[in-house]
Amino acid sequence: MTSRHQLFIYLISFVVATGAVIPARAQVEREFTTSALKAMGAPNNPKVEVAWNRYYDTKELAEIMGRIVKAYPNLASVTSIGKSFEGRDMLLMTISNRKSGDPDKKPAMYIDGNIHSNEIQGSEVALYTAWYVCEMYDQVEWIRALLDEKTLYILPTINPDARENFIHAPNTPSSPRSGLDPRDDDGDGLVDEDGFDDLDGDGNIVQMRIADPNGRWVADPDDPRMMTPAKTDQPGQYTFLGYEGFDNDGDGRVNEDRPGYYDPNRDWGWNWQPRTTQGGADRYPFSFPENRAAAEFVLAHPNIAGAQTYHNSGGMILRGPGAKDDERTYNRTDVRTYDFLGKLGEEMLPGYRYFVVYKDLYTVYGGELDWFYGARGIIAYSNELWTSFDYFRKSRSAEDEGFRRGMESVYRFDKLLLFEEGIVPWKKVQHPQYGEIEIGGVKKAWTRTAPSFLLEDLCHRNMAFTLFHLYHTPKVEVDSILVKPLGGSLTEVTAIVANRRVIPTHTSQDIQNKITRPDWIHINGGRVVSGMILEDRLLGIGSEQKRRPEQLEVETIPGMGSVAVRWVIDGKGPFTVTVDSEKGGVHERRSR
Amino acid sequence: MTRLIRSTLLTLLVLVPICALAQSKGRIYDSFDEMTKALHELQSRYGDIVHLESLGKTSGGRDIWVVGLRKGDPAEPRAMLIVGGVEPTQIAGSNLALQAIEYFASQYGKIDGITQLLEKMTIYVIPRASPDATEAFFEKPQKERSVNQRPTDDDRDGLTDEDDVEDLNGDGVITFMRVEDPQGEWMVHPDDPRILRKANLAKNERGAYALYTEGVDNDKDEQWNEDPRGGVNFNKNFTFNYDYFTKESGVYQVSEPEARAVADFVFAHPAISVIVSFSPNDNLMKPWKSDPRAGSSEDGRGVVNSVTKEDEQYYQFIGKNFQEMTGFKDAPPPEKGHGAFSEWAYYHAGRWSFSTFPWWAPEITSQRDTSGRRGTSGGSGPRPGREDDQEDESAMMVRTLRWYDAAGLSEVFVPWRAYAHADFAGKTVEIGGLKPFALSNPPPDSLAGRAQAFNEFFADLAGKLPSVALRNLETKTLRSGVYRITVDVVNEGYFPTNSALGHRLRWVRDIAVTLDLAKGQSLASGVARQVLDPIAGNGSAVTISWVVVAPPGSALSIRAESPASGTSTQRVNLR
Repeated sequence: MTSRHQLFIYLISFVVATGAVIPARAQVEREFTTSALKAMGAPNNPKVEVAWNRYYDTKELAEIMGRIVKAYPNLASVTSIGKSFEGRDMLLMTISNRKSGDPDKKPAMYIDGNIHSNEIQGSEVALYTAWYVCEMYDQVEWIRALLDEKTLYILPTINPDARENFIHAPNTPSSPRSGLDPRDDDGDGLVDEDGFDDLDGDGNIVQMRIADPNGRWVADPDDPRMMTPAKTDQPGQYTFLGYEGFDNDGDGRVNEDRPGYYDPNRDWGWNWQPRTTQGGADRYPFSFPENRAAAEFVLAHPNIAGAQTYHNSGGMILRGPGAKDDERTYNRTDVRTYDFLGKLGEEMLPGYRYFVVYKDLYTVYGGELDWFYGARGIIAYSNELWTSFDYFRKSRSAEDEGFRRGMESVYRFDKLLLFEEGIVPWKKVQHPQYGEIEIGGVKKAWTRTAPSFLLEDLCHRNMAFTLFHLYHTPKVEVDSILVKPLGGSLTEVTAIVANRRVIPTHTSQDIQNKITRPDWIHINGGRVVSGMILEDRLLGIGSEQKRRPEQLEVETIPGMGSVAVRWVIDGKGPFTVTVDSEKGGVHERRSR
Repeated sequence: MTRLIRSTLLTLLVLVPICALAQSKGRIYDSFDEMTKALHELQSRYGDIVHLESLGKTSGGRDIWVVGLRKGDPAEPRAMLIVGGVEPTQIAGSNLALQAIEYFASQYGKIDGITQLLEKMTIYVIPRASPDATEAFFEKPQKERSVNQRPTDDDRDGLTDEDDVEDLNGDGVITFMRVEDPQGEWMVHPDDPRILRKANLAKNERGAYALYTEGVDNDKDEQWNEDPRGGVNFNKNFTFNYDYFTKESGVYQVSEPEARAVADFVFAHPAISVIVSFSPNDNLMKPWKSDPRAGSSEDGRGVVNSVTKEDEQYYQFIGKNFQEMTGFKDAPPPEKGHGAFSEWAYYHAGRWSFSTFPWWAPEITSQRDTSGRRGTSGGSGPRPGREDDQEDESAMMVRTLRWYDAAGLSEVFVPWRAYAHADFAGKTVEIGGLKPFALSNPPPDSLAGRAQAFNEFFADLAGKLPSVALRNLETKTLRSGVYRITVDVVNEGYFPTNSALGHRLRWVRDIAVTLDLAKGQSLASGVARQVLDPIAGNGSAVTISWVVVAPPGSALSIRAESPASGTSTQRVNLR
């Protein structure tokens, strides 16, 4: 080979070598993020890297769930509990330390988000919760104990089809809310024929206005991007035409028959009413496969003692009843439990208020929240995530003073903190029916959902509320066993069984309707002659359980309270007393 | 000798489950398999009229059959639905529904009225709504069971289906046990010593018996047969006035495959504007009355649980019409529904919904209670555990038993006979009582006359469905190229195009009127597509007009349609 040839070969090899190396470098797997100083409240060296300042579609949520399960097989699993209307898997994670016991036998909490398709950030909060507890299990003692003793069932999105629609199709911050099963909303025989129309194709459905000297709207003098009502004697500049769209079906109305239209949160089997009474209700409870799958899961897991179902927005911690005629269902003892956790939540979530749905919000028949408590006796909350208090954290009067002030804080925040990224400035378009108009307004990705840098804060604080809720699901223990010989071979054994947490093993709704089985207190170590449940331990007053006294049935063990039981046994011991509670766990103690 | 043969035959007739040999006029009570065979035979015999479809299977693997009777495609507009077996123990209702299928299929082409009906509308029949439950009629031992097979913890004690009945005396039927007990609630009925009813203590009556269904206390909880095998009652599983946490109602509304299948069928067929069913929630002998205190029926808010003022008149008329056509009288009092199908059909699905008992024993005047009272002494019937008003039920039992006596069928009552029952050591226990299914279901050949009366009523009712027609079309040339078109949208049926409640519920669609414009045509006034409010019947009309700008000589069409009222089109030539 000539030297020129050799040089050429070296040159080619070098090019090829560097060519091979440089792309390969770009293909190297993501490396774990590490940094010099760990900030409090997050893993410094996460096995699962996730950015919590953005929003994910269903595929991306599934991918994150998969990575968590892969990284933490002893703590996390994921399963499909059914299929959505469009055939997507309903993915539910079970988080608990498998090594300390069967997750389905531990006191548990159920969390879901996104039942209203545009109310997406509940999924991020739910997934953040799964991620955080797995990542921090080894680092925070309180989290370790929680996952050893309890279980979390997390369904990040209960409406995956319409989540995709909100994210990928043009929408306002408030649409579609529904699922995607088509409905004829205007009764004209066509289904979903007149939805929004994205006139400028930017993915946001914003407002339409037309220049009109006889209109009653003006541009706001402080921020002309904003429209405000003209004062009573002030000439107007614009007529507001509603959200982007035109009359697709020639009936004189715009956007009156959009995708779906039913409210999946009016589809639950407690105090359900049809659409004459409750707008958005459909055929019958659990008309929709997503809700049915979730309900069947809850029915199959009687260890669920707490629930959270996320919505947006408004900054609220909601409990039922959803309708005034259901007030009697929520009795005083349970309301006290609700109040305890609700007030704790207000502390963790500044700007959020603990509210009762029908009294402080509006009437809801057939809501998911009501089904959890009314039909299953489970202490459940619904957090309305995101409050405009978080724009400037000055006072809450912005919300209280009506539309104009509320929008004022939005536009101000957009100017000062988003540098005008969040608002589509008014621009001219041609409208097929109205002619030349302008469109502009708020983009769909915020005002009901948090802006990026406030999302992680929202996730962590709401997660904390649910973790304390989980912490306070019942934890039963055989506190003490007192043994008293009665003469001969007879022994009187008294056991005190306590619940170390605030939520009772059976709420009063559960007791009244015998929704779940009683707690069992079992003794062995001798032949049981008789057994009774003590109403007054010190005075020895109780009622005998004639049938199978070796397994006493207790209707509840109150929150931070106890029950006492007593047996007369032929035998001298030692005795083992076991308490077996569906929602409170299992515990045994041996007498001396 | 002949008397011996006669009584033996009658004994055989009644002691085995009451499914008599086929008579020339009536049908037998069909088992599910027999019914399925009969439906297939009807389909093959009358294939152009009888369209058979399965709505799915129960958990026991039985099809929920629906027959669409129409010349042509049953999915065309305008339909009525008949449902039998809504109360699963009323197998007579299933029998009458099958006879209705036979009637309409066989009389098409023979009776003009039926022929015309089936060419312009569909009659759907679901002959047996809850086939798993109704099959109890054919099981051995025979037990009156309203529920399907779903394992349920009826007594909420944590165990499921742990205490069922037993045929202690081996007679093939589950009847009752009465235990002599001065602390018991039940006394012998003054009008018929075979029957028991609850003592009215305030009237100084005294109980002498405790009463149970036949069986032992399997789980030793001092209740007898309180958690039998199964299940959920179809007629308690619907959303209207649903009872939570109640025996037989299911874990939630519409939880059962049968209920879901029938509900989904109704929702998927907006052509069905009238539903008539056999059930104890009668509103034909005692038509619904609007409750003036239920303000919700007026102002559109709140829970609607009383028939609306506008709709009430139609219920009253149809009920009166039914009574005049059939001549039926002295019906038992209607049962208030708790999750009942026929009430759901109106209050939640927005249809005109009519229902009545398939059969009841007529009054036998020669044996009328001489005191003049009919079950008004505040007593209750011998059906332990029922929470409904039992006052009139014991009167019905007395009347029904007298009917059976008069028909020579006294064997329908098993005489009280002593039985040594281990659960009641030292007490006198007797087993006996009215045989299962006998109270609601006579020997099937007694139904022939009733079947004919119901069939004629069904035909009459089907002829009353709304029917839309475009009439009195006028085209006025305002000037060349500009036209005013006016047309009346007329309802020529009896029923309005939608009930007042149906209009609010929107499951039955109102009439949509569409002006189909061609290229080059435009509207100067009016809308191309509009939905009308309900139009009353018998010629009532709504006038619509448009002003169209169009080239002279062009044409357009107008269409008025809804699944419940049909379609009418008019072509308009513009000169």
